[in-house]
Amino acid sequence: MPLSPDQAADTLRDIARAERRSFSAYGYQSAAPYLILWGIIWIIGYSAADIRPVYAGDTWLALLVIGFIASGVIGHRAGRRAGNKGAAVGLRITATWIVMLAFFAAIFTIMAPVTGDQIGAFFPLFFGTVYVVMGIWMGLRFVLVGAAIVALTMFGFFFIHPHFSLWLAAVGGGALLLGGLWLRKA
Amino acid sequence: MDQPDPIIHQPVRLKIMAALKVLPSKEMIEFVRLKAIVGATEGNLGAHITHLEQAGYVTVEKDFAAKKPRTRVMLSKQGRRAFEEYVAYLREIIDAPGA
Repeated sequence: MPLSPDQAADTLRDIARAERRSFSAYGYQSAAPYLILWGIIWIIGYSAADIRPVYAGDTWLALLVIGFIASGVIGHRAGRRAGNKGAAVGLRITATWIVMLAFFAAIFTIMAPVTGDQIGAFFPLFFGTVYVVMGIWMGLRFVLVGAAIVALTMFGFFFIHPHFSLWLAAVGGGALLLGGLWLRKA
Repeated sequence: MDQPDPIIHQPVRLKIMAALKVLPSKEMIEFVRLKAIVGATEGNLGAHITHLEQAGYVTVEKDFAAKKPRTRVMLSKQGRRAFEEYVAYLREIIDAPGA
C-alpha cells in the first residue's frame, strides 16, 4: 500500500534523526584521537612552562612539531581506513595547521599579548571556542568540552596565580584528554 | 517507484541505512556503535543486518581488534542507490499535487 504524505514526512523525520545521531557519533570518533593527542601535549607544554619558564618557548616549539606530525599521521590513517587517499587527508590537516599558525602570527603581530598568562590563555580560549562552534553543528559533546575549557581558562586567568600555566596543564590539557576519551566512547 | 522498497521500509533497517548513508563512502561502522545509534537489541540488529546483507545493501566484515572480535558494517553502492531512491520516493509523495 502506498504511503500517505504524513507517513512519508514521518519517515523522512526518522531518517533525519538517525542521520544526525550517526553524523555526531562519527564526528566524535574522528575527533577523539586529536583531542587525546593535544591534551597530552598541553599537559606537558604548560607543565614545562610552569616548572622551567625560561625553556617554555623551545619546549612548545618541539611539542608543536610533534603535534603537527602526529596529527598528520592520524589523519593519514583515518583517510586510508575510509578508502580515501591517506596522503590527501594528511596534507589537508597540515594545511589547516599552517593556516591557523598564520592566523596566530597575524593576531599576535597586531595585538601582542603583554604577559605570559595572556599568551597561555589565548590558545585554550581559541580552541575551546572552536569546539563549541563545532558542537553547534556536530553534537552536544563538543559544546560541553569546549565550554569547559573556556570557563576553566577564564577562571584560572583571574583567580589562579602564580601557577596559571600549571592550572592550564591540569584543566585545559585534562579537559582535552578526558573529552577525547569521552568522545571515543560515544 | 510505486511501492516503497520493502527491505528498506522496515523501521529498524531504515535507521541502519540512514546511519550508514551519512558516513563517508567506504567508511565502516562498528556493530556496537550502530546498536547505540539505532537503539535496537543485539539480536534484532544482527537479524536486520543479515537481511540487508542478503539484499546486497550492506557489506559486513568480521575481524579481531585488540584480540576482541569485531563486526563492522558498510553501505554498499547498491545500498546507497536503493536508499537514495527510497528517499526520493518519499519526497515525491510529499511534493505530489494535493498532498
